[in-house]
Amino acid sequence: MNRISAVLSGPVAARSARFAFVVLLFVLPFVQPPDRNFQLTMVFVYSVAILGLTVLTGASGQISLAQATFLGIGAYCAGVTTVVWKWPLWAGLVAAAVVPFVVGYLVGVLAARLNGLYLALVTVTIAIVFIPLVKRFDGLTGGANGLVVPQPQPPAGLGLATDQWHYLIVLVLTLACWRIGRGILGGRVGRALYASQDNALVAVAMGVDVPFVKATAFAWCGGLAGVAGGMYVIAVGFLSPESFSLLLSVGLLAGMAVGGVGRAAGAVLGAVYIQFVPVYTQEISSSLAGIIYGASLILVILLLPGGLASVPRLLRVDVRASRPDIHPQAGERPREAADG
Amino acid sequence: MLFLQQITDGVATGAIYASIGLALVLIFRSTGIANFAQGEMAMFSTFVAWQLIAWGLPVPVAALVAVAFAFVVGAATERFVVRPAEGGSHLNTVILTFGLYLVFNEFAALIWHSTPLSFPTLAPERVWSVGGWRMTSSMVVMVGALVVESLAVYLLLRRTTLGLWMRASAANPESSALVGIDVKRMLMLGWGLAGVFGAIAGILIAPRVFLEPNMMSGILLYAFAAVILGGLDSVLGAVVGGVLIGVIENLVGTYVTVIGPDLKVVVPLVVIVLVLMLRPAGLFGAVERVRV
Repeated sequence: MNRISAVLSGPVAARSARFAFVVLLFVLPFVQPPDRNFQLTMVFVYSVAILGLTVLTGASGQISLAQATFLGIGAYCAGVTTVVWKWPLWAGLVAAAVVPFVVGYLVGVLAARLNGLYLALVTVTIAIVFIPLVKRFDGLTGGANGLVVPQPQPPAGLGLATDQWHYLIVLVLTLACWRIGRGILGGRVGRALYASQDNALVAVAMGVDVPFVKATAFAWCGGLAGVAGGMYVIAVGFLSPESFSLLLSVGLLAGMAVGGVGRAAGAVLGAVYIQFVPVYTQEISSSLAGIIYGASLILVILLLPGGLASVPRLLRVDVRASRPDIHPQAGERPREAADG
Repeated sequence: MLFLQQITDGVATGAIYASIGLALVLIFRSTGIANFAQGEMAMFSTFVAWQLIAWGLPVPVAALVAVAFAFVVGAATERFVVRPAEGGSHLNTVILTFGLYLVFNEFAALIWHSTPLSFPTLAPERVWSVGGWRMTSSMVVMVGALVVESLAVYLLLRRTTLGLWMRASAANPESSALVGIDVKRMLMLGWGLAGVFGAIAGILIAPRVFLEPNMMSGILLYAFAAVILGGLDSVLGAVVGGVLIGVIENLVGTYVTVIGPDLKVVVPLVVIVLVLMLRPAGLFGAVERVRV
């Protein structure tokens, strides 16, 4: 009996639940309508961008208001290399990952010297400068008119529709990013990041090169956003500088806060949130989604600092606290026993 | 002559940056946070002025009402959004102001839509020109407003009891509360005043840039560059920094052809990055020492 409950709440259960979830994601495109496929594809794109923010804000305690810009840099790298320079798509995707990674590292080197407020300021500046910069180099980027990028076509003989094919490519890339993100958060880099956020002095004493580690966090944040940008190109097939505005950066930040800062699961919840709120508010006004993002950002910070991902844990604590004698957990004795 | 003209124009727009900069400095000094929603709050108040004008109020009256509105919005923001987050991390408060940014921006778009509207000047426009050099009445008003504002702030903070209370609450909230100063009310007052300066800047710049929800995002950037250059906690720094940034922006836009007028917006980025790397406290700011 004890063993069963241990399995149900242990890592095995978590792993099989995750496996079942991934299987479900691979089945979904074949049973749902094309527009739903597109919406979920965008959820994957946002989830990877928010995962980058999770590494940056959750693990290393830094902030970036330029996540949409990094997404845009990745998207334009993929778009320009494949359209203007005729690179194959996979090479464009590599460029979409590498260039924002390097740019992120450079920003991170500067950022490691700044506290949150100045960092927010520098990243806001980057976000605002990006759009005129893209428009200025219109020979490459298509400027204000945008850039049409041919989307990958499904291989003949598989019988896949275009939306299903895009969904599957993006899903595979997303899972790879997820693997990387979990590796960063749970691995050596993640531990060094948490350490330098919690107590920089101790981290230094333990041999962590704090500025380098913080810059690395920015690099991963940028790189993940860049891959998300590459995926955006596959899903949307059209780039316009206005798509990567400061408003989207704040929206992604809201997604992270609503989902739950510092939790990998929070990135998915946040991505679902920012993709589906506009779907339901569009009929009333296209601005309503932004108001809801902003208001929810404020409310979550004031009322639910752990975001949606923390809700199950909060509920569990409540249940246990209200009925301590019915389900005594291993290693946790009822209060009366402890008193005696 | 072109050079002189560029400097004059630069001083005029610089006065607007300085005005927003004053608002940022007032809030930073009292609460230690940068209000990224300052520009959007100014834009919102400017829309209120526009609406009142559209309903038939004379322009100066509409402007006054909008400025009063800005004071209320600023104070209410402190009371209902910033104060509940007190004691949390600064990162959270910074994120909060971005929440406000979105709310004000999209709310304006919801009410007044995103089509650029033209906004009248406070008084009918007059132009004086000597040789090739020209000067307009609205430029005079911009610079005049800045002079009045900075004098008012100086007198308030240095010459009145209220200003002394405000400075005390900013310097040491706990001790100020112990000697009987209502620290919370001082913070609300600071936010309200910041709203006023923002609204004045918005109303004065609106005839030049057209009124639309995103009109302030670029201007806020220049204002931030100005206060970083001058020092985030210095009133004098905000004024000097604002005028300097206005002039630099114009000269770079005119004479550095690689950048040109389209890409002037990289100027604040470069200024911010350079100042933060070389002298993070800015020209007039107090040097902050952190022990690690």
